[in-house]
Amino acid sequence: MKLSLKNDVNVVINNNTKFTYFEILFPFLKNDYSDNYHFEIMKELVSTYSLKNKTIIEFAENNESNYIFSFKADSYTRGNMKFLYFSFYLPGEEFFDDFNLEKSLKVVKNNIFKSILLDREYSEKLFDNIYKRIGKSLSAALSDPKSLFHDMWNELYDFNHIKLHTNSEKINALNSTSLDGVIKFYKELVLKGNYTVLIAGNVSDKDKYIDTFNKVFKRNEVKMEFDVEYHEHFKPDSFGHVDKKVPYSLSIARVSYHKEDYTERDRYLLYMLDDFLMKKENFYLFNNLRLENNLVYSCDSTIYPSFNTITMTAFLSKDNIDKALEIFDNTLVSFKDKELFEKAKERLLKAQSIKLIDTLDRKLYKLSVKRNRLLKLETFEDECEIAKTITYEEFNEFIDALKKDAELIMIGDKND
Amino acid sequence: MIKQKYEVLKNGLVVVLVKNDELHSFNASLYIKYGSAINRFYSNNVDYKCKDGIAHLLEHVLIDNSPYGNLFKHFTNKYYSLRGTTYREYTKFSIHGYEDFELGIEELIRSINDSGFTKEGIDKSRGPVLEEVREAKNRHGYEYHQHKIYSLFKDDVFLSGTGESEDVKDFTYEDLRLIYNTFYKPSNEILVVDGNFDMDKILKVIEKTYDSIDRVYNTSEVIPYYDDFVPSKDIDTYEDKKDLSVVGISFKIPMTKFTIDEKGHLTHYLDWYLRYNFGRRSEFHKNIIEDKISNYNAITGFSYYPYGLDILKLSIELYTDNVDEFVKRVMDELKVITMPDKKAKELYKRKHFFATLIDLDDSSFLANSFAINYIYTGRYEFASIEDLEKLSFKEMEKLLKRLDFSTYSIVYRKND
Repeated sequence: MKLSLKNDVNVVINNNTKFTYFEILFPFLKNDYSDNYHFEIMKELVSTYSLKNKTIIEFAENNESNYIFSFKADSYTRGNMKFLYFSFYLPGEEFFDDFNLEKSLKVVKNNIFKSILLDREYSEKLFDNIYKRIGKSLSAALSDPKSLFHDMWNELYDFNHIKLHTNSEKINALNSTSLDGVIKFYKELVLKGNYTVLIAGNVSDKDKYIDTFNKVFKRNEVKMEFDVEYHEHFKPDSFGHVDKKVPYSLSIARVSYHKEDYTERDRYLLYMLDDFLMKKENFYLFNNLRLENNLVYSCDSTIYPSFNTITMTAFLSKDNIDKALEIFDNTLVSFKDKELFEKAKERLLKAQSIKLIDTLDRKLYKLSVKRNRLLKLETFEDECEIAKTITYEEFNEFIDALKKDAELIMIGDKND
Repeated sequence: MIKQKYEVLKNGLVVVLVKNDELHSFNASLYIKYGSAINRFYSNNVDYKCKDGIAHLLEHVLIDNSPYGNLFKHFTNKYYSLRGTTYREYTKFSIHGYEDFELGIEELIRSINDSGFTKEGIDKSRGPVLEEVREAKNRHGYEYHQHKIYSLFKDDVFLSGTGESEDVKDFTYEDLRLIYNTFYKPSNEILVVDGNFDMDKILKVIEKTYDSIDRVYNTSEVIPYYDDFVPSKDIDTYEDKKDLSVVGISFKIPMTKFTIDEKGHLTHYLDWYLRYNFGRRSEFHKNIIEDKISNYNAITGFSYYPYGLDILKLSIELYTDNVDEFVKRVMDELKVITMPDKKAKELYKRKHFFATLIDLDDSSFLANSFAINYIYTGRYEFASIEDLEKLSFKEMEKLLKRLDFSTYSIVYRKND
């Protein structure tokens, strides 16, 4: 699908807030995972220091002096695309006499485009500290059973690390990180890149905000056109059965069910199944494991749309593992019952309609809808419309097509 | 438009109502002034001692054995969400919904105040609670937390809240009934309601529901007590080969000589003081990094222990092996209370003002902060912008200088 973005400043007015929220969004094609820490370290440095304000306190005080609150850099990934964004809040204009929109935006512009990364010598010790800190954190990342289990799963189910990343992969990525790599990333993505802008909240005069932003921020004439693939598909490394003993008292059991031949509708069928298993309105897995059988305190289901897979996981005592595995299978098969399906679907649709009402109370919801439309991402409303069209026959066929392809059991060997 | 009010009913229940007619949903939270830390108390001239974990088990028992069956199932079937949480000083049961609010409130009140739990019901709840104990014990940082608490209090009541498996298995029906009859009564409860509803109507429903509950309450005064323990200043060192080395200093600061207002103001002052003098933007942090004591910033926190203790626990921690140097620097910093310069004062006031404006826009914040304030201070007060006018840097300096940091413990988790 072609995604074409403009240099627009998109404003969503919601005067029911006391602030105005800004998001400056840089889209780019996702790079190799080995670049991961070039990106992460760049985000940290750009959001904490600048050429003019070289210490944390100077940077923070300069922002606060200009009424810029919660300035941060963050990102999200969708399929083959990654989105870097800088966000911050400005107060509504009626609260502070000396607040000046243009002045605040100039400070933000310098934060982003005159980063400390332009001073290589100074950046070196900052980079060094962050690098060591990340390294230490990664060395201790697997110090509890849930983190260890998660890592084991990623290693087994996605051996080539296409989608799921392990701790050792992160360590390798960190080892290949350099300050020059970070600077290069910054220059190519931010300095030479282009961005779209979203503003939401207490906006007295929409045109004034757009004009002031465009006056302060000059743009590169780089086209933002991408061949986006938001819904990629890969074959998982279906590993059969693996169990491993660990020196903890907590055991964890997970099974995955995978459908071989992918269709566009599969994603929505997975959402529906996930809902039936563990969402608030349907909680069949929770009911079967905990309420009926007292086997767990917590459990979950997770979908991996890229792999066309759904997993069920229980955190429990080693004595209850076999029972939990039986319940996983029985729960999945139970959805072949037409009456159960119809009841669960009805509850899902009702819950979705309630959630849509709920969104009216969320101050930045309109902005998230606007963002999704701009980026051609599905909105919650889109998902709701498709859920209505799923029939029992289609869902039944989907359940039949799901085959157990992996089972990972981590057996906690330590006594309570 | 937000309207707020509170009433103390003739049965002693405190009702807090915050109406926001722009919202489409409602929340109700029933707070019981009894939590995991209240395990030793005098009542009716009898000295009672319970083990850690009983408050939490009772919370589960009440949800699992309501007059409507399992309360989670019951409310979820109505598309509400339900949450029960046991804190140190209180237990909270909350619902969030859209329809049939009056009925929902009635059912919440009845479930918690008119519970006919049985021995069989308790046995059924034990299973998931034991699994929760298992999960808690396997959580990252659990052992470190236990060392910190034990070294400061040498008392199991503050340890985990979930308790030990053996104790959870041993709690009897009589134990739970005693706790229930002693603490679960309207004069020991606060019911907060926020959202879009008819205030007068809801107040009538609340009164009518409590009036209809046929229970004999234990009206004797309950006086919690704790052992007076002076921690040793020897460093409690233990090894952990999986996790990062960390040093934590925990101070036990007596608060008996502070008025309620002073304690309330200290909450704001300490929040600023710790962040500005030990946080990322501080000289302390800058020096820690430059002198290679650590690659991380110090983590600070504080909490108040009201009943029977009247102390403030304040902790400062750092991922480091430089134990002596870190301890020395913290103590040196605390000897001289550094106040902000003029610019920092101005920025602090501005940021605090803006954050308060945003909070006061949130009906849920208004309702729940009233309840928490009441639990800790006994005062009936809604947060307001006028609260800011009662704060001053002059007072901040005076109060901070009165804090006694002479009682503390040190824990060092060592990773070789």
